[in-house]
Amino acid sequence: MVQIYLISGFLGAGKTTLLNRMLAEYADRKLAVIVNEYGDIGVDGKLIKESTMSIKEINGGSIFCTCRSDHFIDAIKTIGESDINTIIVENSGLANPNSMSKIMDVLEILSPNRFKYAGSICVVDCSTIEKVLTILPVAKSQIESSQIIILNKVDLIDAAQLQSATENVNSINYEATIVTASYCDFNSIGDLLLLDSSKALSNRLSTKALGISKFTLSPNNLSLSGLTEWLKFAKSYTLRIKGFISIDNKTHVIQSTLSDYRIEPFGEDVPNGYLEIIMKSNDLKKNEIVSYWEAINEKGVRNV
Amino acid sequence: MIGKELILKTLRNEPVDKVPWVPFAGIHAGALKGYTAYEVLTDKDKLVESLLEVSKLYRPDGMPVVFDLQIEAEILGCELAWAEDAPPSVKSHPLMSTKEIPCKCLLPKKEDGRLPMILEAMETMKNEVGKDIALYGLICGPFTLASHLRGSMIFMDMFDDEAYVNALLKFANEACKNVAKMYIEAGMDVVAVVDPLVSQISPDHFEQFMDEPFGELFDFIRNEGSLSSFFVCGNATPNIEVMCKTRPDSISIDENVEMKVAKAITDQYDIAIGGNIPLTTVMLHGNQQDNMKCVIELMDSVSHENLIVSPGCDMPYAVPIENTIAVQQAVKQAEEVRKMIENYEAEDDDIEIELPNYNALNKPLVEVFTLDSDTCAACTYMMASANEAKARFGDSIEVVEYKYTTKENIARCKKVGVPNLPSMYINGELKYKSIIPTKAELDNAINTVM
Repeated sequence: MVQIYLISGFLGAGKTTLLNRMLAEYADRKLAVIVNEYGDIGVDGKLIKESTMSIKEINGGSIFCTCRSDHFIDAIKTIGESDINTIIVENSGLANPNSMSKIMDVLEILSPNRFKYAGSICVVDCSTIEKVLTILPVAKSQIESSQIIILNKVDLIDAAQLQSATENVNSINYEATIVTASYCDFNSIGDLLLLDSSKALSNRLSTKALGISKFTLSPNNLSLSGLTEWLKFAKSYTLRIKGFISIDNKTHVIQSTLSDYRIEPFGEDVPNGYLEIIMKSNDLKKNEIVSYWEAINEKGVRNV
Repeated sequence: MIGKELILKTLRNEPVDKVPWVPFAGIHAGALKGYTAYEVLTDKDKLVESLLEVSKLYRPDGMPVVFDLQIEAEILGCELAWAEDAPPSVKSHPLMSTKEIPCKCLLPKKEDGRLPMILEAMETMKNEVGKDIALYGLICGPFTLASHLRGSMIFMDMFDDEAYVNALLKFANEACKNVAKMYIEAGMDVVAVVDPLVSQISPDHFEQFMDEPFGELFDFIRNEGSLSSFFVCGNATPNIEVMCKTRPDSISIDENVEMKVAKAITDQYDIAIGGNIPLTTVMLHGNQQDNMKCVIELMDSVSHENLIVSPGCDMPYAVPIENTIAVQQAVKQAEEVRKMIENYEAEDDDIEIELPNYNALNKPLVEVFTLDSDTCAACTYMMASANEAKARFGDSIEVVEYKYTTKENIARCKKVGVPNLPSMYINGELKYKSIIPTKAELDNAINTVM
């Protein structure tokens, strides 16, 4: 079967850079590349070996059309008629990998048992991801639908920004493997084509909706020691805790991931404190977390 | 009611006696006459010839004259990449590296770019079919046009420099208004503002940046005496309501939006909605039954007032003619087509179909398989062609029609293996599939087997 891999990510994140590295890494494989848009960096022609690789360029401009996949399907079908066994698609910066399920349905009708969607690798520009997520809902879908997320351009940011970007991506897609890189250079590039394809078309949106619990807790006369003990307990069972709590009449920002937690003074006053909790759905554990919270507060629970 | 009336009344929220149908045959129109996308988007005569074929074969109630979102961009300095079977795409963005606002002297005028050709085609089509068919003039919306000029940087600008985005949108909107006015003066009944990028931003950002330019544009179109439509591609579901608030007369959606969900919103605003037959999975790669079923299910899912049935967007070049014919048939003869689908999908009854012994015929046998020659345009022409041959050859040939409206004929179609409708067989061999033969071609084919 011909395996199809997508490289997703907003324009300028480093998709073509990743593609060029993959072509160098997989020089011994028979593969084809479908390029979906013009960028500043083109695919390195020196990396394309005529005998084993082919490159098709479609929709070669910046207009995208989410409803038009005919040329894309044609390109894949044509490649499938050769002996090439791997197709790497450099997706448009505004394309949603979720649309692959419809495309695979059509391909299955046209060429039964010939193609398999292996999954998506999302390249994220760490220095702009928060901005991009604010403006473009599809950027969230690209992260959500990918098995591997490359946090690229780490050389442009500091440690705190990297942690923030990591948490951001993690909260969108807790199952993906995250790697950090500059110029998409990282050690495990050779493993990229070993995606867990069983998760490729699992409809991540419904999986997320069913598998993730999100709720808010509010404080009432909370002490620092009580909060600290609760965080030590809750962080192990949650994906993220974030919010603002007033302690000793000063607002503090609270952040917690699986591995660590922080309680730090916050420069502004946030009148109605709260904590937002994201965790994998588990009613028993959630009840324990909420009960513990109630014990250290007085009637401090809401929006459960 | 004639087709044009159906469209105009639907966009004015007036009652109509049937659901109108608008095929978005842009470059696909060229395919009907064997012209490439480039030819049909640059040559007035080829464009008009192709559009007249659309009007003949597909019997639209409304139709676009040109479906190309790059016309304005080209005039404003964007380079285009052309293709044989797709609309052109923009490959360079003049404002990619600079935050200028172009000079107003660059705003499109009647003599710029491909506008002279397009305006001439519009005037010709107005004379030819404008009494019966509502004509749509499509313009590129201000957000997509701004992105043609600025490239993807515009998304970063929305975060970093809101004032620049507003200024660029204002300029783009002036271009939109200029072109809209030209199209209205050329006789277009509906100006459709096509803006695919709208589906890429949140409702909040739409309200922040797009409310004013789009509202202004639709008010402008209205004040010029025309009706309007807001076309969007992609999953624009979250933005349907904010789009309604910009006051278009109608909205057109593609397959990424569920019609039922969108219509529940547009009905609240008394705005008509059009769409949304899937282009690739159904129109291009489905068969006639798939297309008929899709349309029936679409029409069954919503109430019929304020509704237009159309493809989700510009049809792919290579959509099989018979599929569009099937769509048209389903819209126009819904109950008859519903029965066709039921019969097609029914368990195989014990219907014995006896095929003629094609090797022992006394005279040439012309068999025409149709959806229904009384109601399907292409079927009418195919049957007419056969009947005219019968008139010429008299008793020396036999002509039979099998309409897809009965179980027996559906069974016959299956047994013969008819690929699509209409099709014409001579002595058991498929000769013409969807394409209507000329008199000379058909006479020759009959004489060959005489």
